[in-house]
Amino acid sequence: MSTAPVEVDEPTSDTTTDTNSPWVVLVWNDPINLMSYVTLVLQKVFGYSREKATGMMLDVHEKGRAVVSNGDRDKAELDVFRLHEYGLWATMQKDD
Amino acid sequence: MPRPFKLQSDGTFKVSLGDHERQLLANLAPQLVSLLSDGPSDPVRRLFPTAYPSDERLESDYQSLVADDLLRTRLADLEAVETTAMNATLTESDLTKWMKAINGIRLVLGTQLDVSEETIAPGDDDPSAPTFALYEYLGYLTENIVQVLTTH
Repeated sequence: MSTAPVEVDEPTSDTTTDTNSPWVVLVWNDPINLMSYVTLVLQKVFGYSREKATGMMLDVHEKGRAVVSNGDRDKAELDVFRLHEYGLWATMQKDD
Repeated sequence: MPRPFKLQSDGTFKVSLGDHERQLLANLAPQLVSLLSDGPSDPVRRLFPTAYPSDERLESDYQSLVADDLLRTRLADLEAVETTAMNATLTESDLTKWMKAINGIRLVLGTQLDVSEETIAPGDDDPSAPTFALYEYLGYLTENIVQVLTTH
């Protein structure tokens, strides 16, 4: 896949600034980050077990993207930032 | 050939890389520091991903909030590689910085090479062959760091 999340369904939910509404954090497949690297980052950032992080990584790899966390907007934004620090292709959107 | 990184009983990691490999890393890190210091550009855009793909205003707020922090972390990781490239051992903290820095260089090179999951190595006479070989080598290092940090 390309370095931009283009070939899978684009997030379409409205993004109001209501910080109390739940948001989801997505990680998108990209051709550069190694599968093992993505798994380790999910373990380090979220404290997930190896099994849970591997399952999410496989979803990213096979389905193009996976929800890796959720919460209010501030929490989701912090999660996205921490994933960006590791170079993962993470975005956030309102949970439908 | 010894594994490039090995966990020791005191919790540090032994680095088994040749001098030319260490020199390569010590040279690459400041090259990316220099690119990053020049401000936003196509080669480094991949290091500052979009958080809100469908909302320009929130995206703009996000970028103004985090861009400096993201840049600072990147620079610190790269500087750690440059200053510890010749070390016989690394702490877990330093090895994690190596992993992030080396992966960051891979992201820039991979974007430049426009790699996809179907990409195969270019022929020796292809002008992109040296860059691709470097990209592959950094992938090998990343994989080995991930393995040793995962089993830790």
